[in-house]
Amino acid sequence: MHLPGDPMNRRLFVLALVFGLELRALPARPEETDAVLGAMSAELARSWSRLAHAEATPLYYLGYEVTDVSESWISASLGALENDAQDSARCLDVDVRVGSPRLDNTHEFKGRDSWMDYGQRPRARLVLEDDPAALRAGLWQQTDAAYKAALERYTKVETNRAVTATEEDSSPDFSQAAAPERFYAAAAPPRLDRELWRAKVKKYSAYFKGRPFVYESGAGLEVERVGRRMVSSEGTRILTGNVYLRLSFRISSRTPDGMDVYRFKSYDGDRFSDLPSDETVFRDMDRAMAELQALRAAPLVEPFAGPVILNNKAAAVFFHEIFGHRVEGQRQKHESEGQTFTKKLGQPVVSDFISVYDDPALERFRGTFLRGAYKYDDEGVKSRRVTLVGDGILRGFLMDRMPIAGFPRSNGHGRREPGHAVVARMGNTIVEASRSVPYAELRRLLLAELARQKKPFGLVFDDISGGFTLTGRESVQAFKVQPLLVYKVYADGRPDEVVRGVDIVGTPIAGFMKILAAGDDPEIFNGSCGAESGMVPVSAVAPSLLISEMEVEKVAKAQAKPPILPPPFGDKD
Amino acid sequence: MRSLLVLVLLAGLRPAWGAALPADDKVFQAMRAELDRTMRRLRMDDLPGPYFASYAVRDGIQAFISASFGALSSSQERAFLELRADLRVGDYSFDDNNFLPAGLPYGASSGQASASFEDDYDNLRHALWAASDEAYKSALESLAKKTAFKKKHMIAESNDDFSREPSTQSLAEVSRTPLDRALWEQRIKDLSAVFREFPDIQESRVELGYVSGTRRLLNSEGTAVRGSDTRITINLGVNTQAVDGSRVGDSLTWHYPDWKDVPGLEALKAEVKRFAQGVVDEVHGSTVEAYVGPVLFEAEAAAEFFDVLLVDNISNPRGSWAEDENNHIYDAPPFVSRLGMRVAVPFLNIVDDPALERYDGVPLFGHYTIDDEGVPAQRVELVRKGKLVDLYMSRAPIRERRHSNGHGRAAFFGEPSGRMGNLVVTPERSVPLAELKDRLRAMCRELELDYGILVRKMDGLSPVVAYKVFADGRPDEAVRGVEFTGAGLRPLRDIVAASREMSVFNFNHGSNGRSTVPASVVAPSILVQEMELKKVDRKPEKKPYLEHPYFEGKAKP
Repeated sequence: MHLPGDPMNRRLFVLALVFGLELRALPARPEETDAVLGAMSAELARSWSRLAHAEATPLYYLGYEVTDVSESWISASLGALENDAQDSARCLDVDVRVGSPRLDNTHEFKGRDSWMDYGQRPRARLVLEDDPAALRAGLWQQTDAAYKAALERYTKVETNRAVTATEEDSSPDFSQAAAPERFYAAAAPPRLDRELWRAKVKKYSAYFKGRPFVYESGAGLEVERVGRRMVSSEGTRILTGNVYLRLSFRISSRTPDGMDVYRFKSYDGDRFSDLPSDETVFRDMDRAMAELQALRAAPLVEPFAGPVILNNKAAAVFFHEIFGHRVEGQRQKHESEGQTFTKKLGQPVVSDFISVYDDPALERFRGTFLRGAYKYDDEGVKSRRVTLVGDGILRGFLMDRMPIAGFPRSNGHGRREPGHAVVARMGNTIVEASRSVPYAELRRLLLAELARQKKPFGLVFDDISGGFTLTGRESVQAFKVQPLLVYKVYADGRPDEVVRGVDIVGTPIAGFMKILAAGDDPEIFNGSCGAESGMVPVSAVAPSLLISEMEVEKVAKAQAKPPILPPPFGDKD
Repeated sequence: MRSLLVLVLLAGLRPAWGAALPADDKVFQAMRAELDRTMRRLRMDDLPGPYFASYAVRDGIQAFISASFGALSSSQERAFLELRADLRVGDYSFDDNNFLPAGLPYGASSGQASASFEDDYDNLRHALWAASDEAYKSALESLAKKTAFKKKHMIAESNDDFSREPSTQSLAEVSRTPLDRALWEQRIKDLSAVFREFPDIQESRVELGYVSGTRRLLNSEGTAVRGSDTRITINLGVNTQAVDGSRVGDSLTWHYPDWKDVPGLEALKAEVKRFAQGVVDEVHGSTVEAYVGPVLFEAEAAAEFFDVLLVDNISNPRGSWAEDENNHIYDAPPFVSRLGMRVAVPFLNIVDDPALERYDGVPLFGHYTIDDEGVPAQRVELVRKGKLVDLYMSRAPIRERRHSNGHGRAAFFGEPSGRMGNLVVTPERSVPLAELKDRLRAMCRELELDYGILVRKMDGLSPVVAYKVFADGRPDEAVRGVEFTGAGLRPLRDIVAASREMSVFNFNHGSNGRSTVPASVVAPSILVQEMELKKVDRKPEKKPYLEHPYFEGKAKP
């Protein structure tokens, strides 16, 4: 065990793991020293022994995941605190499988009943304190409810299968277990100096005061510690966790024709030394304000098809949204899915100098924190690197324990937010180029491509929003790719111009085969990604990319008018 | 009116609150400055500006603690500041209100937000500015739609939309009642541990809610109100199954205005036990297929009886026009047309008196001094000798009542409408409660019934805790899973007797489509001549496969 807030201990532990000494760091039986794991193991054993054959349909798998989330927020606007709070919650997910691995209660509904696959289960809370009696009471109740729901759904699955056409992919519903995992290392909680950070956040937020073009603004710090415990009827016993720090600011405005425009920036890490200096923050704020003013004055884009550059972060988001979600395992199997890539295995899907992998085991990229890192996924499978695309050729999919044709096993990508069923998700998605050029050269190549295609201008996408949260409160539609900051680059050498109202259309997937060149400037996007299994932390890394053709059109026009009076501060009333 | 106000301001004068607002109250200063700017300058193109504006700001501390089975499950505390801006366009006789545009939430012409809890002048003005802008634009949109609606339906009705009332200035000192969080975490845990003695209860929780804060209201007519209060609630909730597998759920909430009103730990534990025992009775109780006969409504159940059958029918008397004609949520209630008619038995007098702070020493949750539109609360005589004589009025007039009687109420983010405060039901003749029960038995014998029904707690008009009271004097037996049928408005006129003992029921009063407001009913237990009950049509559920782990192997008490 390590002391809270002591980074040295954490480092020592990581080192020990590197040298393969984890067994020495593990207590012989964690469930004997950890009250929560103890209660989970005891209730699991009791349920497993008595429920396995309680009904004609056997219970063949039972798993518990208990997630502890402790969060602190400090946020301010115009120099005054708006939030200064902390909260803790302990959630329970019970995974019950009845039937057999070939066909169980989790099987997809098809046809008219397919809507039954949507909708999440109620989020079950356990007591925060490590009190065995109260913990076991909650575990018992939720197990009973989940077991009954599983039996009911299994009956419906059997009926549904009887009345619908045979499935194309007849893989089983659950993959065989590897050897049971045993791991025991909690994340050390970072010590938050509230006084210091209150002052800092207030100071940052006050920087937007007296800027009449900024309608809404704020700065904030979030400190989140997640602890996850898993036990299963296969013998898995895991305690693991992560720490997420995020400092962010946002500013928004509205154009005279009613379009909301905003800039947002976040800095992520798992220790306070990852966060930037005041100097960096103020410099970025200046830049964000300049961009916001440019957006306010920017002309609307006209429909366009031609060469574009996706700047590194925008390229990372683009790959995550447009490519990453389509290589999640379940999308190759579920009959309601587009299955864009299912039959493309071994075939080129991206330009041949591009490779893509997903590696949640990677905690840092060139020294910078990656939000999508984890040691074990939510099915207790150890995380590992998966090659998705090698030199342009599709090589694999992100897998949880639901097998698909040709992929019988999990590769540690089964993830969820508490209260959701696990599906395959991204962790750290990394795009690499086997040849790259400096950014200035990439821009020169864009101009050359403009000349070749005889186009008067091209576009540079500097910032794209995807299915990512901005502040944790505002919700942005998942899977929707919306360019936030776009520059027009003229072939005749005029200065670049910010444009707005751009929507990417057509089949953006075609763009992956049209990557002409890559920059030598890989950059990280840290965010949270929302999909069927809820919000999970992710990272995406990519260099800037030159694409020979992409199609854009105007977004639908907004109707809201800008505020009638100027903001009160500084109004000469 | 508006041009007059502008004139007053130009002359360097202020509305009535100008001189009265305390100089050290930064929240009021920010509200005043922005209200002033809004009234003078907020105007879109050549459209009229607001003729009325009102800002409300609420700040303070709130906390929530919960525990289950002896362990803490949640504990949060935070400082907050919330605000709303209400703007009206048009004039007092016809404005954007009392209208529900299709596809918009009711009362869209208010801007709502939270802002800095540090009472920061610039932060608050900024938030009020944004809220006013939003409220003004939606008020204009609403008024345009409402004008079109009136033309389309050729409505010639001439009820004003907003009554003129004298302005109010009332500035109480700011005060806070702090929470001892460690102490209450322990107490809530201790209370939740009581359920470790009840194997029949599968799931239970105990919660503490706490809010202590200050509300400020400022409007363009010169009303300025500041008042502080504290609300403490302890809530118990259980979910279990009866012996036959049917769901049994129950909850109970106690309300207190101050820590000194909260009973000590041992007294609270005894109350929790009593609640749990009631649930156990239900678990082992039986149901009845059908029943027609006398019903005794005891204490809290009698309060619910008056709430459902009377209060809901005299609240929100001003109906709203709805653009969607299938929407009847905001229709006027049935009793508006019965003013002057008999609605209850002649021996009942009923008033609503928000000024009452306590009844028989028990704090009343429905107490307030100034309503949410800034009108001083009034004692309203509602029923005199069984006849309906008045209604709950806000500043939305009706033909029969042109003015507010200080009952314009809503939750902070709700739209004020005519609502209850402290309802007090006084019978002109009464008997001791024990005699009431004897009378129930006597009626049963007369009607040749084995038993009569005693209801101790209701949810709307569904009995939650009820008993069979046997004609032959055998001990009472719990009844569950029953509901009243075909009650209509008649039972108020079928009351045959009332108890001498009065009881207080504190609760959050919800009303069709409206927000909840803190309320109290003070009423006697009552015996009703005849009501019909039937079994609730709900299928039982399978019981848990395994025993509760804590009680497994333990001898049942």
